[in-house]
Amino acid sequence: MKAQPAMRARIGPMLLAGQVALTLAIVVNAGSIASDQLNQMLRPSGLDEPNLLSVHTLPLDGSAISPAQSNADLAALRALPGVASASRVNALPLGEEGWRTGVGAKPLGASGPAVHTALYYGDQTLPPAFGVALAEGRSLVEADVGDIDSTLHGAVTTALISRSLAAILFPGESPIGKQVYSRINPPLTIVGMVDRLQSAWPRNDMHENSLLIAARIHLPEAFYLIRTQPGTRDNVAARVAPTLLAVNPSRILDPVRSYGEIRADGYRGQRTVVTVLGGLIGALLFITALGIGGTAAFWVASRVQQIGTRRALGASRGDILQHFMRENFLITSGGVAIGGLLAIGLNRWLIAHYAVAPLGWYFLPAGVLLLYALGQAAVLGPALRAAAVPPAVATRGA
Amino acid sequence: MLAHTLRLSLRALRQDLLRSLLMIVALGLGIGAAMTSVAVFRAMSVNPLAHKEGRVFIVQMDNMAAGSPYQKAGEPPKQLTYRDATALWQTHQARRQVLLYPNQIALEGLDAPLSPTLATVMFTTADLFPMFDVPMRYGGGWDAATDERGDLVVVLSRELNERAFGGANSVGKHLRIGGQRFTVIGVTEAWHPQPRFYDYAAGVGAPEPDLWLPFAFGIAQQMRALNNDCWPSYAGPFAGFQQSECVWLNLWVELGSPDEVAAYRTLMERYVADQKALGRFPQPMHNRLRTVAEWLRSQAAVSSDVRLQTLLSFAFLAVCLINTAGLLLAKFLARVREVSVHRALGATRNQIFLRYLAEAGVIGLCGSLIGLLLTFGGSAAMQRLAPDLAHARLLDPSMIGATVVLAIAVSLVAGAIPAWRVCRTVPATFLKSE
Repeated sequence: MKAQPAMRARIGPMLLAGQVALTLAIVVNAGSIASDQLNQMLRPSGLDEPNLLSVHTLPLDGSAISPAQSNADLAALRALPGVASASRVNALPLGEEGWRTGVGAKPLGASGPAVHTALYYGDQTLPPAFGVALAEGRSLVEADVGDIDSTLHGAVTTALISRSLAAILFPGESPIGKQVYSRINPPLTIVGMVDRLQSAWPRNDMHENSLLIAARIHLPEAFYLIRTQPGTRDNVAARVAPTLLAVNPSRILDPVRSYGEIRADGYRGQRTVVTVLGGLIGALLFITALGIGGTAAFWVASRVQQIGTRRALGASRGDILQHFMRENFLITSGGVAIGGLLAIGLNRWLIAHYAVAPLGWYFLPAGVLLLYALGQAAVLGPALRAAAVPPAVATRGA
Repeated sequence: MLAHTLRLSLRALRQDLLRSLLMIVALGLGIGAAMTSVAVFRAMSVNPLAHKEGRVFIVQMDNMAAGSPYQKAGEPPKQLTYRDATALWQTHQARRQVLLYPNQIALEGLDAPLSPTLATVMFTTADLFPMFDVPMRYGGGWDAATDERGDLVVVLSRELNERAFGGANSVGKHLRIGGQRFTVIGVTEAWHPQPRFYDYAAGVGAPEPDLWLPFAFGIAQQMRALNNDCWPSYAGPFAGFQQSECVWLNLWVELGSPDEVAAYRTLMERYVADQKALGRFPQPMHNRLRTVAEWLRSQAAVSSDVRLQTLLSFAFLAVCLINTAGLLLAKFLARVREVSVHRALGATRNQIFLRYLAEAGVIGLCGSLIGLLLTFGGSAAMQRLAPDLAHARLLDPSMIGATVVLAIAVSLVAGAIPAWRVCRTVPATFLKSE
């Protein structure tokens, strides 16, 4: 008796199982890619983002902003109520433009491998303005701070290092007191290590590698970081532009941005991928549930006579319900068996051609469970309707 | 006959309206997803200078250090050093030639009520405007003599002209740019070639240029490019930067015939050989003279994200196809008695097959409408999500036609299996049980 009627028209169950198989393969792979991107977006930058504002300014004639000029700006900003600290930096983490170079634990030759790292330049007020957490050693002090001009030439001696870069340059050792070499700076002595300080480029492999170099900068542009006390950020934001224009009205001043906006812009690409793949997964599950439920409804409709007969011969409502649920279980089982292989094959192919990450072990079992649950839920409605067919139907003519 | 078949199809559709609607929506979703990804794919793979394909070329040479290729082995950097780009330029061996690099510069209104702002600028040479067929709204570009004299002239983008001069003819008006007084000599039409092939190295998200300024002014102001790739690293003054191995300039040439192309390749080979003799260019010779299409292909203008999304959306369409086939099969089989009666009354298999196929076709036609709506919505959403598509024209009549054709084709394929299944019904089997 089992699943006979459906199996008689073998194409139908095969189509459904095929649909389940394809759905599993796509959902598992799309889910893995989307969660990979989502995890990237969720990485902390190391900054006190909720309380951080940034503003970009430059003079009209293209001349450099001297440390004296930026100090006047910063003094005015620090005087605003709600401002905890303010500092000047050459580039913003997640800001998509910045400086980077290759560095090594030994002097670099004319060529050869060097570890890529982001470069941040600022004085002793920069680490507290970023809000980075010191893991080892000490922060910067005024005596550490050198000078650097717009050609990046200058006398700098001291830097903080991110944990990720320290682990590459000095594996298994403390970076404190070590020297870091590059082609553009004199050797730098590491005095402290921060847990995290991300680069300007969220898509880059070296995103967690950074050096925070103690320097006063003379550049034709300035990024000011303004760290506010909790709850005062939006009030401070409204007063930044008037304050800076009061110090010097003749300048270009870009709109003040919160770190939430900078982060949202920096991760635009990832967000697009997650949105598109998320939509695709949702639509796919919806369609497949629709297909399973719709097909089951047609089967029930075309088997009313048989169901009535079985009921008349003593089958209980539960037997009928079970019959349809079991039928779906068998079809889904066939589907996930093929779909599991398909999913792994597709993942192999994607790894080879699109450099996606291998599937985590939990994606496939989760996908399989999801499709069983989806199938059982979709078939429940038609199965209940089948169970409600009264035995008397058997006595009526077709 | 056809009208009769269609009427029957519509009646069958109405008889089971809810489930027919579900089929239509499912098919529409699949079509919408697939066509949206095709629209994005097409916008990214379009050649904005297709009418000059084979005549306009970008020059690439490999000055990287031995054993450390720019990105992958055998592939030269995207841009050229100052000394190499200007050396080739000075040979004047092309019908037209363009040097180009982007940066940002302070802009103030003199004759315009414009608050000081940071403008995106392309420093370039006179031939750019005729070579890339830049459409002009007012005035025009400058000539080679202007480049040589170093006149302070500027061509504005239409958008900047709207902001600064309210869209009026601003030729002859003045702006202060980088602290100096410039005269407007031209305003472009809205010109947003997509992909922006001419400074592709700047990256897809880079801002559109507001100003076009003479190359010589950028050099005189000691302005570098936004994207300077230096290997080995260079930190130092501008004079040294000009002599360094930093790559930051784009050189485009227009060549009129295969002979001219061959001659230019020879020129590049001779130049690199000379430089090798001087101890530069330690890599093997990786000269490239690429057309716009070849250039965009080499730079993977269609990002792997987009290719992956296109692939997945077609897999999604395949699921929708199987889904429709399964539902149609179940629906047709529920009417198998009806088919038996038809067959017994003399209908041929072909007639039954065509009748049920027509029913699938009607569902496809309805699905194509939903698919079109979703393609419009999906394209608009993608343009919001991806700023580099903002100026692309994603949908045109051919895309709309393709959507309808695809939907009907998919539904016919989906209908063929069930229609074939029901037309094989043996009349006697079901009549017996009556």
